[in-house]
Amino acid sequence: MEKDFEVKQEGSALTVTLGNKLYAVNSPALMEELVPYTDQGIEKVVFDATNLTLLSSSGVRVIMYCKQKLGASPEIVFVNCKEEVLEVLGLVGIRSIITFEKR
Amino acid sequence: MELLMKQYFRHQIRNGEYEFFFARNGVEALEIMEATPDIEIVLLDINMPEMDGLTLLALLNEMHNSALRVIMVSAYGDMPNIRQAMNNGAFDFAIKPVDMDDLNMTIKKAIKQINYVHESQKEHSQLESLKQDLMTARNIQQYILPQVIPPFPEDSDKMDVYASMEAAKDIGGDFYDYFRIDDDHIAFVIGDVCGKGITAALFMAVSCTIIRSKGIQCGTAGACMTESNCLLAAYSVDCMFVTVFYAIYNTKTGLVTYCNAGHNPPHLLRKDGTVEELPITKNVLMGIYDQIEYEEGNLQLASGDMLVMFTDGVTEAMNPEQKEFGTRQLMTTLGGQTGKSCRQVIETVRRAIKDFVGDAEQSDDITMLAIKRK
Repeated sequence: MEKDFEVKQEGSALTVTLGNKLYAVNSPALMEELVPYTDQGIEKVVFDATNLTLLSSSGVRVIMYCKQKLGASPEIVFVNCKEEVLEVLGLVGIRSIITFEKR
Repeated sequence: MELLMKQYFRHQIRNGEYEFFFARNGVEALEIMEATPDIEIVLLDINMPEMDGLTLLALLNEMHNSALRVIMVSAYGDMPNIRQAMNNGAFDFAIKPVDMDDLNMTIKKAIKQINYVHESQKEHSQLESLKQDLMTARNIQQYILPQVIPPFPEDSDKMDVYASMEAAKDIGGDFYDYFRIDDDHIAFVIGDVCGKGITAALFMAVSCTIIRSKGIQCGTAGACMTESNCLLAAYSVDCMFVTVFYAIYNTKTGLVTYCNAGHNPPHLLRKDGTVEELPITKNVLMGIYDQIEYEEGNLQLASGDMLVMFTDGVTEAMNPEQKEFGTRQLMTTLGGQTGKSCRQVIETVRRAIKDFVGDAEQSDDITMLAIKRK
């Protein structure tokens, strides 16, 4: 499968631009790409979810990985999060650890 | 030729790189080949007494040694035989009188190919071994799930229970369980570990075992989930987690006390045919944060009501157009099932999913568990 996400570091912030789906097929590849940032003093991870319509449990794991493994509990931000993705985040009980922004 | 070969390749022979066996005819060559199966390059003269090279080549092909490379030797102008040998699988050919430098290059080329074949065979065997491991993991998973149906025959006048799990091709982490806590209380569990593969299967086994053991010890749904989560967080590697719906059913009163840790809300099929989704609680999935108090919810089942628990493999089953089966379709399917047994309802939903997905490959486990108050 073609890579459908992009990871960019700007100082202590990491921006992850997501594709249409974050699920079992592409989540392991994104996790792997995030591993080198574990000791980089990341303070904020911004997920650009403008195009995201499907978030599965494997995708949720990626978010938890960022929260727990990158830096000392960095701030997690979701940009332009769609209702269906919000629902999943609410269902698994992790909405409270995420800041939501509209841009 | 024998002397010439020994002289030309003397360094390789001395270093143990090459070992040569010489045969005077095809029959002798075949005997050597059968006695020494690790011979991988054969230099074969087409014109030999007793058995010619082409016949021997055909017999060597029958040995099915995919690494074996045969270099044919023939006289100048013997193109028809050389062509036949090449068509029958010979690797290359040399013309008499043999140019030893050219032969040396051909042998090196053959060795390169042989090494490649060995490498591929090794990778293939590793893949087979991995497949076998996955198959074993899948079997272990199946055995972890309760096997006896109906599970509580002594309460068959009070309740009906049925469960099913259709495993996807890639091993996943769905599970269900039910066990008796005391005379009047039975616990029901459905869970889904994130991800796939051996890690998910192992975490599923750990989750299922911990929840069962804590469920019997703790008595209440909230305490069971709180304590199980604490242990699971200790076992979780790289943020592995599990979503769980845990319910304790009172067989006398029909009261269900439940705890939902990030799992798909079960659906309630009322006796009158209406279908409701259980409200989403504020509980978080299990295995991530260790100090969490899980909140309970209550649900009263009236006679004829059925609680249908499921994993996301049901609602996220996709058809070839990448459309999901979805919650709405599940609710519609359940709506027409009033008065049916748990088994009938689950099988109807399975059929509906099957019809919906058509030829699309199943990408996730499809697991359902239903209880009905009689």
